[in-house]
Amino acid sequence: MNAVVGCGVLEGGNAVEARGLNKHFKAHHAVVDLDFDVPAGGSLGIVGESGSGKTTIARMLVGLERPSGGTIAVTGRDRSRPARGAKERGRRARELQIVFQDPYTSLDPSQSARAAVEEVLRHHRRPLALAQELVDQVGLTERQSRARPRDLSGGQRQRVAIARALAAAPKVLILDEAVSALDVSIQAQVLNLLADIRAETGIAYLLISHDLAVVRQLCDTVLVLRRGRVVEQGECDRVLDDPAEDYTRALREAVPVPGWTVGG
Amino acid sequence: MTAPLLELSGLTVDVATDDGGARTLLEGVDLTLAPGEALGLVGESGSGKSMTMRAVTRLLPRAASATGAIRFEGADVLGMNAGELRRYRDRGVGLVFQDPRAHINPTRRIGAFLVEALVRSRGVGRREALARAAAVLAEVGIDDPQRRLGQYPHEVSGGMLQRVMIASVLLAEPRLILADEPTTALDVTIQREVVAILDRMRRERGMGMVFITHDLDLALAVCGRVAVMYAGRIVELRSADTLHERAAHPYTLGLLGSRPSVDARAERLTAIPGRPVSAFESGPGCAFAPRCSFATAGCESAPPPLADFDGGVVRCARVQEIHAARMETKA
Repeated sequence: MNAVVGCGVLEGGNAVEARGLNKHFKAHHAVVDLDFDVPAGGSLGIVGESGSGKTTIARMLVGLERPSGGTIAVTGRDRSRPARGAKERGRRARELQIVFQDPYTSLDPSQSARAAVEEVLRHHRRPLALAQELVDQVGLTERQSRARPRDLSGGQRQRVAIARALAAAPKVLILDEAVSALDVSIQAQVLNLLADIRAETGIAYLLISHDLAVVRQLCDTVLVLRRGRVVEQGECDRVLDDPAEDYTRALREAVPVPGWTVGG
Repeated sequence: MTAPLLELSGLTVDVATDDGGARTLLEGVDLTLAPGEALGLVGESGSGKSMTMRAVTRLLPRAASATGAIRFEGADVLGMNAGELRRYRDRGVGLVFQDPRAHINPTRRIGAFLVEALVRSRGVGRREALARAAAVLAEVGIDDPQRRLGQYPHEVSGGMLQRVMIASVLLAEPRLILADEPTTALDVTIQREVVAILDRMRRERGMGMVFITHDLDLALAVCGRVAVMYAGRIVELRSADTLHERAAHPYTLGLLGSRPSVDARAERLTAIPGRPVSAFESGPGCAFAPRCSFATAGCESAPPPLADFDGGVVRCARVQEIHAARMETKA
């Protein structure tokens, strides 16, 4: 599977490295002095509430926003400045892909899953025969792979978005609240699928989520973000079981679990 | 036992389709809610949890029709005339929705939104109404209520606007609150504050509450009893404090296994295969059978009844056998 999908394991080093990252929108400091790494084949969860800056980080990584300061490198190559020319854009696309929360607005309504995947394969000059394997890998049936997005359920559409992202054979996949809108039973299927894909391909994940349980399930390391600043970062087990900061503890305790009572 | 506040019996909702047919969205829902009780309705897309609430308030889509019975304090809701219905919606039930921004007029100040019902239909003077509104805003934990009354919805956060929504419901002093995913759009720390407010208000004022959510653990924390819905039917109903240990319906068990835990990483989540269906998509038998690992040929042919089991009610033909088998593996 690894060879087929082609998400090759990076030779050592970090998949993503951010140093002194800053983003201001006029007077508003969305992201302040952020340092983080996603190791090759690793999985980092960025957790925060609304306004924490987590989506701004994703947008800077894919090049939708330009950092006000600091650097971002993906697979060792700097991308703090806009790509120059189609060739570099293509190369960046093969390094990093993103899956958004709502697959309905990120898919072309007139395009079937297979056509969406083939378009990306063609663009990156990869064999079109891979489309079948990608569609199989994300668990879409033959009939579903020929359907338009509107005829698919939310979970199926998210599988299409994942297959399309994998078609570029990226080294890093950003999952921006990618399982948040899914029904609980479907969310479990997609989380299992994402864990399988990482185990099979050695792809690295940067998961942006408000959901600590989802982060724990899918990530090795976690970064807790508040108002654009790092509150705490480290191994998931350590940060979630033994938080050093009050804010992390408050986030942790706000998650309803068996025995949780209101108030508190 | 006290007379129920709300009683649904055999509530069924069908929606007419363009080709002259009908699609069932809700099928034979039976529920009772005592005054002051909090009941959770939990389910995924198409389960009928929101449709139940819309039927209770008679806010169904135009093409939909409800049959069966809805009784509020003994009165037949489906038979109410326009005047009775207005009084019922005004003083009987209060609604809290998921997205307050979609339900509060963005062009009017928060104060104007809050006093509208009091001034128009209760004949309360404007000054008195504003004073009451400020008092209720303080009760739901909003600082500086006088200033908030003069602000527009876009000037405050989503969490604060949801408190404004709750305040508007409290001003009407209803006997029943229907809360449909009231915290789904909010951050977890705000969610905790908002459910705590709902819970405190309900206890202090003795109101009944139906709390609709996709989050089983949240419902268990907020409610005394929880009904799990699937494909337009209740599949399991039991007290919140025993649901984790005694869940017996394969769907409830599946929901509990699907959710990742914040306490520990699961080797693999026990996902339920397939996707949730609506009532009209399900066959003649148990709607969950196609996704159920315990299903036999018999499950797909006849609909199982909702029957007493282990202190709750469960809609599963094989519940005894499944329970016995699970106890054996546990032992």
